[in-house]
Amino acid sequence: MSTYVYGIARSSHPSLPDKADGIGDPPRPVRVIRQGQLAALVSDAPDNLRPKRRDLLAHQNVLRQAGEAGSVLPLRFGGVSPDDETLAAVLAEREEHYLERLGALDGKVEYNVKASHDEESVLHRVLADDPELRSLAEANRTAGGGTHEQKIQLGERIAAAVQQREARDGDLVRATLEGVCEEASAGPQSVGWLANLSFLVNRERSADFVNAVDALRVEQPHLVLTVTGPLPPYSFVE
Amino acid sequence: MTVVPAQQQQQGRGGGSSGLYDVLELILDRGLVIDAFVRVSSSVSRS
Repeated sequence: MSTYVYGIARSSHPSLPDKADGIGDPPRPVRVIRQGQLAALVSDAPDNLRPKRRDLLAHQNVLRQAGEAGSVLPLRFGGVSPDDETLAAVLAEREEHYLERLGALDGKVEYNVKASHDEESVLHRVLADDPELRSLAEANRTAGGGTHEQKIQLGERIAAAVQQREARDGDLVRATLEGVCEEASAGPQSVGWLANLSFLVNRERSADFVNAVDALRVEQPHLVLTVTGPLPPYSFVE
Repeated sequence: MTVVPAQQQQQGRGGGSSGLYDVLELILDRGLVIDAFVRVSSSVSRS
């Protein structure tokens, strides 16, 4: 029977979610494997494990519960040890390293922030910031939209201005929130976001972090910010 | 063995699940990886 692993904690962790519902259908109970100064949160691995919604949620929930009471290194979804013994051997071999990481992440949580532009307001914003572009847009408008060529030219210039603004705003979000976190890490870039950033935040400063995001929303109303957290520190384990 | 349907589990945490969508890439692409382990999710396309 192979062993699914959620995360690694110190064996002195005060409240590991032993017997909590884990992955699988029906949910496999969470077990704790102890080795030296470390403890791993595991379940028997179900056959044909796939990243289904219920299993992703279970993985997340086990780590969230464990993280509330003490430092936990979250594993990426889908880590399966051939058996308990192999896991114990890994814990023994990497004990010093994992203890160092647990210490570094003690009392800290991850917040993920995704930023995008509100299309309408960013348009106003780039026109407000560039008098030349603004008068070009006004000239086109008074000319009943302008020639086909003029329309294209204006469109291209606005698109370029918005793109510049995206880069600037991505930097702004990072710089602003870096002031209220311990560490920042860029997430994978994808279409639709001008920034996807993760921040390692001292749990006690969570309110400061959330307030800083709110302040940014007020100051930069053309920015749409999606904040998710507190999360297990997925982006900061290595 | 008869098993009680466990459907109710998923609906319980509305806040958590709406947040889950936004952080799927963290759960699937970040987090600790142990070399000695099998990676089940890598065989599954995320697209």
